[in-house]
Amino acid sequence: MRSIFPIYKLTLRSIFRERVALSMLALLALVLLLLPAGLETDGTIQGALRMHIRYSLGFSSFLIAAMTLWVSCASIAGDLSSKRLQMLLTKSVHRAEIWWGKWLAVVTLVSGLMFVCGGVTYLRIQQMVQTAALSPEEKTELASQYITARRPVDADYIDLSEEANAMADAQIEAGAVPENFPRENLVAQMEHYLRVSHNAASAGQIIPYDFQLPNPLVLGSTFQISYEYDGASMGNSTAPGAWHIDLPGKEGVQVFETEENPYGTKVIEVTVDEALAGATALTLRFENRSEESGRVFFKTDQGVRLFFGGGSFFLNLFRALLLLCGMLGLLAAIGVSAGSVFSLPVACYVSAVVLLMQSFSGTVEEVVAGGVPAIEHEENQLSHSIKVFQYKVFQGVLVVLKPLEIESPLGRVSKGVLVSPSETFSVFFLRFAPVVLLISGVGVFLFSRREIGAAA
Amino acid sequence: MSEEPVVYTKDLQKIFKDFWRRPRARAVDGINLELHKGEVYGLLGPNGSGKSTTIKVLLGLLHPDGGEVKVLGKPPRDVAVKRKVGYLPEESYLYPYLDAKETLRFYATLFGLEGSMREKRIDELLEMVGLSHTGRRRVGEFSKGMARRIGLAQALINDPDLVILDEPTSGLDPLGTRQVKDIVRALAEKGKTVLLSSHLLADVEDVCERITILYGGKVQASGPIRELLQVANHLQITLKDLDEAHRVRLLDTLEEQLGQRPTLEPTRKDLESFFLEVVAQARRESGEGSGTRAEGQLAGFLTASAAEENRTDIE
Repeated sequence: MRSIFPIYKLTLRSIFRERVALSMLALLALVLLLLPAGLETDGTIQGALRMHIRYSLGFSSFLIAAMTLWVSCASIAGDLSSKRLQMLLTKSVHRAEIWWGKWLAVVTLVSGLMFVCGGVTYLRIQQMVQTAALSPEEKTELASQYITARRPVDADYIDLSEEANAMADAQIEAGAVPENFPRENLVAQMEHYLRVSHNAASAGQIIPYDFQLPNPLVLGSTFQISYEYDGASMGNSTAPGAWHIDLPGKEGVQVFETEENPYGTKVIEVTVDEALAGATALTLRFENRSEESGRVFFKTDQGVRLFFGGGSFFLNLFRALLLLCGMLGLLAAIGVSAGSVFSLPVACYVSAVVLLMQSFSGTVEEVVAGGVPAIEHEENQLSHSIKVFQYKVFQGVLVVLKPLEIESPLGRVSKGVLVSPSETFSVFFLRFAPVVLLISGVGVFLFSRREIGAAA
Repeated sequence: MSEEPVVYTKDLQKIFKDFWRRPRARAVDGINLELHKGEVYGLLGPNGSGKSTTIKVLLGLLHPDGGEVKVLGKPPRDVAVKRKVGYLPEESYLYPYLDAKETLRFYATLFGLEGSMREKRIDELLEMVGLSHTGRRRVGEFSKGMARRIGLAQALINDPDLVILDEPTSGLDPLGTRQVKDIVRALAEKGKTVLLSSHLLADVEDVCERITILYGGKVQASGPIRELLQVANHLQITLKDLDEAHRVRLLDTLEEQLGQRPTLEPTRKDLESFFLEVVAQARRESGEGSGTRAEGQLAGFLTASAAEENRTDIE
């Protein structure tokens, strides 16, 4: 393994000699300097902060990902086309050492760039907060909701499968479903309907959410109730409402009256009083106090959450950057492996396709979750078989893409939501590391079998 | 010879295939080679005859499709073998942004050479190939001849037992060509085996003991160069300072004894020797020029005793 370091050093040096890489660096510097000035915000400092983290840093990370793709593919494929690899491979070097030396160099460079971008963003945020004309209340709100790292607690999951199955059976029995319609699709539809119903409150109705708390509530500490509407379902309707905090055997320990409308995420700041102190579980009830037809819909996925604590924003951003670096490492592994098997243009194409497919993995997942396609009215068997085949292909693609699918942590950081150390650790060591090892294994195996310098 | 050959191939075959794995060209077709320790061996042939392919198989870059191949007693892809092999490709594929020292330092590090021993070797090799004065100049700015020289130096950085040189004198001036040939001879004297591939037949003739001529991937001729070049039934007598009277008498006697009158021609120098004499004279008169400077003497660490010492250090 002694050859990894010299190859690593030389690769780093060669990257800075490549015109494409240098152009990308220049573009990145421009983005960092100019993009924030071009971002349109809602005029609030909170909006500006979120835009800054999510889009300015997000776009920088996209550019760095593109650069990762190029330099990783070019690291071996470029040496091959310039025939320098022929020289290298006649020395006392294992091909695995070349692979790892190249990968480490790419990862070092792009991680360094990612942290530089993160550092610039952090400094700019600090400057924005310090120079903004804010009242003490606004400063407190900013510190407690945005420039922080809040630990989210989601409501207990409600298992609706039994109810959905019963509804599906009733529908089939009533003859309301076409004969060939797959039952699993019907059950999925019923379950979705029930989940929306469980998160909707008509006038006078109450929706309960149960929470298990990670630690007993401490007297005098604060936590937040955060909720988000399903604007598409609600339309423009508004409704007066109230949030009740219940403890086992004790209803309405605290009550907060609100005026509900479908815009944005709402936050209620709760101070733990003597009644709440020590609680390890609570129930949150939303009461729709409208006397007319105003109906309130909360998002079915994380629509109502509790937020605890206020960790360091700096460390949160640091952990988010670490996760982004891990994603770049994964991308670099794909690029280096592709570059060690294919020529530079083909390697770039293959890596870009994998990257694009990965970004569409959500869509693929939805298609697969939709179940086996049902045979449609007057559809012939061949056409249906093709659909089933396509479905199976999607299933296969998802198997490949699933390990590569990682949610960007920037959205959470921009909302002041914690990217926990345990999550960072587990994603890094249980997700990135095994996948990188797997990709490197495949890459090194194929690279080792590859002939170098064959006549064209 | 009882010793195991340094390079051994038997019925070596290499077939290039297309995308669909269909045979496209039979680049090497049943080549047998046997190179021994301390030998300078020439591989000759026109373009496309299979020389480079054979070399790439010996270096483990290409996989043989048939036959047997062993380098230093092992399969050529074994990294332990590569530790003892030096290679100069037909063009020096160097990193253009490194200077001469950095280039050698990089390759030396790949062989595990570190510290003062590495630096000493680098200095000696640069001195040997006449590039010690290039300073921080990047190899990308080097002339072709200078690139060949640095290429030769990198091929020797690991004090190899087997040196494979593909067109080592291409791009070199006659002075450089002579220096390379001197180095090759000196390497052989120190027990290194040299496999040399070249189009320049005079160079091969000067330094090689045995040669193989390839054409169409097959061996067309092979053996000691003196035997192969011997013209049947022709003899050559060389005499010095023969005056006219003795010359006539000699011809008369030979004619009388053999029944045929031989021809007499003055001995000529070859052009290379003449050129070198002229340059050496010019150098004596005008001092050193601005080009490369080397005398074709082997670097100190490549001499047998030093080599033993250094190899122990590497292992």
